[in-house]
This record gives sequence, C-alpha cells and structure tokens, in this order.
Amino acid sequence: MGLEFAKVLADNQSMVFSVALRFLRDREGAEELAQDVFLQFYRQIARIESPAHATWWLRRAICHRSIDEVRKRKLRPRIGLDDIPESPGQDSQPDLLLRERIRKLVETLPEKARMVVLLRYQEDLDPTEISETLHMPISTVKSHLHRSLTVLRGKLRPQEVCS
Amino acid sequence: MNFEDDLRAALRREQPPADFAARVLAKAAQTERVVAFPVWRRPATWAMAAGLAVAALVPPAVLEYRHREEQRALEAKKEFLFALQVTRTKLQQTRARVHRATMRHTL
Amino acid sequence: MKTLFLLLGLTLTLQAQQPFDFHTLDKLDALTDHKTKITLDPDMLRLAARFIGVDNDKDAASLLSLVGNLKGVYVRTYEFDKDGQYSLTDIEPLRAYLKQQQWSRIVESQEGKNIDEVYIQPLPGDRFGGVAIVSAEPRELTIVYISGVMSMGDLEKLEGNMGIPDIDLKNAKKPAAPPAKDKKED
Repeated sequence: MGLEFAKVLADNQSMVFSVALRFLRDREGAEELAQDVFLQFYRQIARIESPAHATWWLRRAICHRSIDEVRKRKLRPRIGLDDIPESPGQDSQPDLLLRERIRKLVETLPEKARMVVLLRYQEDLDPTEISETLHMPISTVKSHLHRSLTVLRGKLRPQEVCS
Repeated sequence: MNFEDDLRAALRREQPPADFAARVLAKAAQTERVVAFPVWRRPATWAMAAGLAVAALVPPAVLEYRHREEQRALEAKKEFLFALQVTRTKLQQTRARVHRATMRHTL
Repeated sequence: MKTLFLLLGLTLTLQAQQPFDFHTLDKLDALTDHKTKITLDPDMLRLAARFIGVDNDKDAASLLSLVGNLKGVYVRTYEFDKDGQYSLTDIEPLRAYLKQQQWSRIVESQEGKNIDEVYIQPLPGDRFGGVAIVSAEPRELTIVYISGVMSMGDLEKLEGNMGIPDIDLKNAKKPAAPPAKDKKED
C-alpha cells in the first residue's frame, strides 16, 4: 500500500473536522462524522493513488456526508423575516465578535450555498475546484458565492462591513 | 481588511480534539472485513424490490412529472425567499443612510 | 368627441397596463459576470407558495399572506470589478417607467457615491400596489421590483420588525386616478 493511513489522517484531520463542524454546528456530531469519513476512507485506501488524491477524496466525502447529515437532522435554520441576532454593543471586542457573527451568519445559509462558501473561504478552493468537489456547474457555484456574499454583507451592520 | 478577508478569518480551520487521530486509528484497527452475504439476504436487495413494486403501480412519467414540479416549486420558494432577503437588506441599508444624513444635518 | 375620449381612455389604460420590460436592463448583463437575476411571475409565486410552511419556515403565515397578494417579484443585482463600469443612465428606462406609471419616489438618498431610491405605487388607504428599490454603489447595482398589493405592515416586515419605519409612507403623493389593477410584468 503506497499511502500510510496515519499520515493521511494527520495531514487532513483539521480540514475534515472543520468542514463538518462549520456545517453541522455541533462539535460532537462533527467529530463523529469526521471519524466515519476517515473510516470510510480507510476501507477504500487501496484505490487512492496519491496524497493529493486522498485530500480530494476526503474533501468530497465530508462535503457530501455533511449535507446529507444536515438534511437528515433538518438542522437548516428556518428562513424567516426576522432571523439574525442583534449586532453586539459598541464596547465589546469588535474583531472577535465580528468573526463570531460572521460564523453564525454563514451557518444560516442554505446547505449548498453554505458548503460553497466554506470551500471558498475556509479551504481556499477556486470555483472550478468547488464545482468538481460538489458536482455542481461552475455557474451555480459562482451564483451561490455571489448571492451568499450579498446576503452576508447585508446582514452585518453597515459599519461592520469594511467593503 | 475587506469583507472577504473577514470571512476567511472567521472560517479559519479548527483543530479536532487532541485524541481524535488516536481514536480513529484505534477504530480502523478494529475494522473487520465485511462478510459477504448472498445477494438475496442483503437489505439493499429487498429495498430495491420494494422500490420496483411501488414504481410498477405508478406510471414512471407521472412520477417524473411530479418530481420535476416539486423541484420547480422548491426552487421558486428559494428564489422568493432570497428576493425578500435582498429587499430587506436594501431597505435597512437605505434607512441607515437616511438616518446618518439626518443626523449630519441636525448636528 | 365621445369616441375621442374613449380612445384616449383606452390608450391611457393600455399604457397603464404595459408591463416594465426588464430586457431594457439587459445591457448591464454584458458589463459583468457577477450578477443575480430573479424573475417570479404569478405562476412561479404560486409554485413557491406551495412549499412555504412545509419545512416549518418561520413566519410562514406572514410569508403566505404576502406571497398571496403579489403579482411579480424581480431582482437584479450586478457586481462590477471597478468603479465607473456602469452608468445611472442604464437604469433610466426603469425610472421613466415608474414615473409614467405614477409611482412615488418616497426616498432619494445620496451618501458619497451611494445612491438609494425607494418607490411605491400608492393605493387608497394605507396600501400600495408595489415597491421598487434602486441601490446604486460604485461597484454594485441592485434593483428590486415587487408588484402586488401590500400594506405598510408588509413593508415593515420586509424591512425587519423594527417598529414604525422612518420611511414616511403615509405622506406619499397619491395619483389622481387609481392605477390599473392587472399588470403583467416582464
């Protein structure tokens, strides 16, 4: 076997866990799902050709499994007309609270849009790579990105958005 | 920092618990080979048979049509809700700008 | 003379019923790859309504009540790579149409290079026949056009539950004659 499972695990655990965590919004659930995906990978490891292939495989698996899991749990926040908590007060630590607010806002995006945003801004994938990972047309990826940024920017207070 | 930088900072990867890798390795070591069941004993076979029975009762074209309509309706709902979100964003933005302008004039 | 008045009335009615042609804004499409277009005519809105409340959506009752009265929802957003890639004259067809249809511009705000306009089509009482928003920034242009009977309460909900809005809808100028009820857009 060309690949060492322990090395693949060490190199990719942060990516797999983070995607699951941001998506499921539940640390325990994210650990469980991440573990499942690695075990699934372990059973397939003979078919994996290289470390890059391993990363690609794991990323695709965790994305699809996360989306499936959310659909099963119906965790997607219900879209209502009043859905975002109030902005923090002026004397709090702005950067940390801003990031927390941004994370919470990302969590309210619809599943596919949320995954596209995660892959773009957490994993730094370009639209082509996102399209291949999620089996989604590039135009749809770009549309999700564009709409999500519009919504996210709009939900932050004007002075919280630098551009 | 622009908004996209803020987004990257907010979504920075998190590390799993320190013992995560050890637990996964331990579980992998316990993984047993799947015992081969005869086809007729596999749950998937029964599920497929049930699905075929249902499909035989309803013409495929009808199922296909219903599924397409459902997809269209779901898409329409998503579009509608997105449109409302954009409307809300822009109204709030306008209100904020008008408010700031009013404050500037009264000071 | 009677015939002349009838013809004039018919012409005015037909003009009043003329939908806004969103294709007049298509030139903006060529200026950027980053755009979102939403076009929901009455059929699509009816389809959308079928699934509101199915996923236990919050405010499902309010959403259903709103969508039930709408005739059309149109959103166009464009993002540009640099300043100056579009011009306000590109949206002049929409402004001209709203003026012709006697919509009232109830907000006109400029903050630096950002321009915001909000139009409503007043109806008797506290209702209106539509709301249009134009938000023009150096690198982003957003147009929202919602046609259909709405109340002030609906607009407040659209904006978010923030109490009495500062936008003074009550004093918007009402036209002399009621607008045509059946308008097919786009």
